[in-house]
Amino acid sequence: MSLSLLQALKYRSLDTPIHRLDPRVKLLASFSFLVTALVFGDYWGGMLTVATTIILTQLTILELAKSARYLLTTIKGATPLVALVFILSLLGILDSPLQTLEILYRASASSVRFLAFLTSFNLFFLTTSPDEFGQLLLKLKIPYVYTFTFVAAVRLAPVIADEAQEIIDAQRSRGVEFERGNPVKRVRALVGIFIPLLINSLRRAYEMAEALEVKCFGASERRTSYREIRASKRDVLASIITISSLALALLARGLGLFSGLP
Amino acid sequence: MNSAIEVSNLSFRYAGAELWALQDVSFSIGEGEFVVFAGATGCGKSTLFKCLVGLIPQMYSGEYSGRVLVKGLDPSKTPVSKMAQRVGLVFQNPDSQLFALTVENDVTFALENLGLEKSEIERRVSKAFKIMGIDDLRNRSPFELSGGQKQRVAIASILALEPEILILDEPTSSLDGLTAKKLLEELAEIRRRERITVLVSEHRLDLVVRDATRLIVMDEGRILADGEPREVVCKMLKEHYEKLELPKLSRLAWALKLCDGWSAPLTREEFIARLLGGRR
Amino acid sequence: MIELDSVWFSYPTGTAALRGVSLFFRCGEIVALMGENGAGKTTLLKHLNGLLKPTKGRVTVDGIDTRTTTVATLSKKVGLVFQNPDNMFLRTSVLEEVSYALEQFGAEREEARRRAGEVLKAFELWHYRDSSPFTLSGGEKKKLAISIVMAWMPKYIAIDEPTSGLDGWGKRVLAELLLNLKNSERGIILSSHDVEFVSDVATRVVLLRKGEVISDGAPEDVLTEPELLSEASLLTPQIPSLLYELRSRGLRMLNHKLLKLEEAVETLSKLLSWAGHTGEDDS
Repeated sequence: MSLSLLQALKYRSLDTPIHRLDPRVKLLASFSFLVTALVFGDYWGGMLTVATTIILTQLTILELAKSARYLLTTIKGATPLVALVFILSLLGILDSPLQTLEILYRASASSVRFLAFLTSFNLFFLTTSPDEFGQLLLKLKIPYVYTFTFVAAVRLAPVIADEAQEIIDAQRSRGVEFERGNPVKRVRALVGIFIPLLINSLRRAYEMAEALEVKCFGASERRTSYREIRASKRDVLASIITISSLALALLARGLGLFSGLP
Repeated sequence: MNSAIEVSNLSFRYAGAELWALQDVSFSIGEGEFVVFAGATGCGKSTLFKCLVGLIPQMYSGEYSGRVLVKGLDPSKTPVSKMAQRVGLVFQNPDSQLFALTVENDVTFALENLGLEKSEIERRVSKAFKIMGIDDLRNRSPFELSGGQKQRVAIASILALEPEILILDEPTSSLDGLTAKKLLEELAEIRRRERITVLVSEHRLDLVVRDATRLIVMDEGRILADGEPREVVCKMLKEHYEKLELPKLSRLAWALKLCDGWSAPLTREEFIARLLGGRR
Repeated sequence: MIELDSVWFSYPTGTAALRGVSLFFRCGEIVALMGENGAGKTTLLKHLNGLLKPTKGRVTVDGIDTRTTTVATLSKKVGLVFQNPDNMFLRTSVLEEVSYALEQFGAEREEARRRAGEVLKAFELWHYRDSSPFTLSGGEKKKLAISIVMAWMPKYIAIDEPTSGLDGWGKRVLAELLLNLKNSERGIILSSHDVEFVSDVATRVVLLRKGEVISDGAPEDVLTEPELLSEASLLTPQIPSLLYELRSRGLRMLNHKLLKLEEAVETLSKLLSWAGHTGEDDS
């Protein structure tokens, strides 16, 4: 389950109007989803309506980004978790003097709200490349060393994963059985993988350090950026829409406009 | 001929090591030469290359003696980032030197580090892409590329620094025959067109010696032979030097006594000329 | 005999790495799988001891379907040596490294160490028995990787890119080793794009391209066909390439299907003496 959730969050390089948006706008939008789901926390205060609207809005935007199915995958992957929330809510209020319909409403509203929480950053992660994420960190005035570390880690993750697979394969070919035997033996077999993986990683770190030197890392105080995220008119427009929607939602909540709604 | 590189009596021993990685190495390389370094694994080629850009002794501790001048700069004292703009080093393993998420970013990386203007970066990057013929890879992720493509990107990322000397450590070690041959031929072409000096360590001598102006054979940290490739190969044959994989054609020529005693044919055409023309 | 019966294999990402491969490997052979990177060589090798199971088709080792048994069981019969030896090592000494696998396969500790010692002596690695595997040179690591697998005497040995990282000397030692193994009636399967090395050791060559077998035959037949080889992104070995060129220049009587240096020396000396060249004072 965890794997399919991660898979569903993986950035896919597509060329759509949503993908081309400034990552800051998308971060803002995802943030708005989260805040909205958070503030509508009262039963019969629009909790179910708002949470459903958030999910549907995100689904619509992701459809424009040709990525709606990945959100559905996340939702599917999250089903056991959501079911758990549903059951826990039921257990919490079962012995209360509420009517069955009311109990069902409360449990469903909590579950859907939980799902809205869980998926709120899908828009951001599905349509922002790690590179853009790095540029975003720079824009947020985070020192370049951290940005570089983040980007290099994302770049190396699949390389290290391949290497780990290769080491496991090599050990299995020498008679080590990871799936059999008592737990102690299995843990020991797994620990064995980390030694070569660590040694390989150390060696790679050294090689990378050399490569960084000959690529003049840290040579200039004022590092330039060839690609910078720059807000276009469309981005400004999208931000205005996002901010006003959030403001409206907060206003509605403040004035209690949704009270009485499911 | 002006010399691009001057090395005199260079010795180096890594801290904690018993043996010297380089022992009393001296040579000089002229502008525009294409020099092939050959030798068994552990002969000191990679160590020597690291000395030429200053990674040794600046990043590695150990015993260092002798004098090195590269384009008039002393790599033991000049910051590596300054050396790197005159002499580019491409390492053997592309995965350790490509750290960005797009090919373009890997090529702009060093230029951004130098704080160059955007227009200057644009000019250099476009040129590097054109030289290595990788325009179509610009927005791809380095991870998805084939071995040959990765190697091209790695070279482009160094060429963008517009070095006057380009050094490549075993660039073809993981490539198949045709891809390796093409890459080495292109390097020879780049050297001619861009008028740069190229140093390359390579074990497939038959692929590279045709364009090389010089062959330097190293053994246990020393220079064993240095000269015109055909003459060096002949010397190795004469001395029954077994550590190096000498081209089969040259070995065949030796067995058939087509070597004149001082120069061995390296390519098919040279071999045929000697075979059909008798001895020179 | 190891048999692949129209084997298809796709990775989870969807790329089809093998497309209907049918092959067999017998004892007493050295079969070289050749082709460009990504042609499916490593994927194929990993099918031989069951690390990968075919998506479609069947792989059998001495009649046993690889899908019906474990990797550990199959590995006793088919030893697999990985391309990068560093990925195989996990013990603190060379001796431990070899005896570890023997213990995994059920040998008693003392017995395992005794047999490991014998193998190390045979491979001229005894001198390093107490060193860490990671401190060996490239060539020695490669030898150690093979001796680890040899220790439990598998009937078949599959080696991925045996010559990568080896210099001329290392290759000669390896070639001798492989020929000895072949003579002791083991089946050897290797993947390589080193045409000169394969010319010297292989008894059969299989060319792969994009997951398909495009040629399977004697080295003298496969490695002497420039067009076929270039389809697999390989260069023609130097000797046949020379003989081929000589033929096209009118020396039609030359046999270009020769790979070994000694054979070429013999053929060309005849040609030279026939043409009246003796080259008596060359040396």
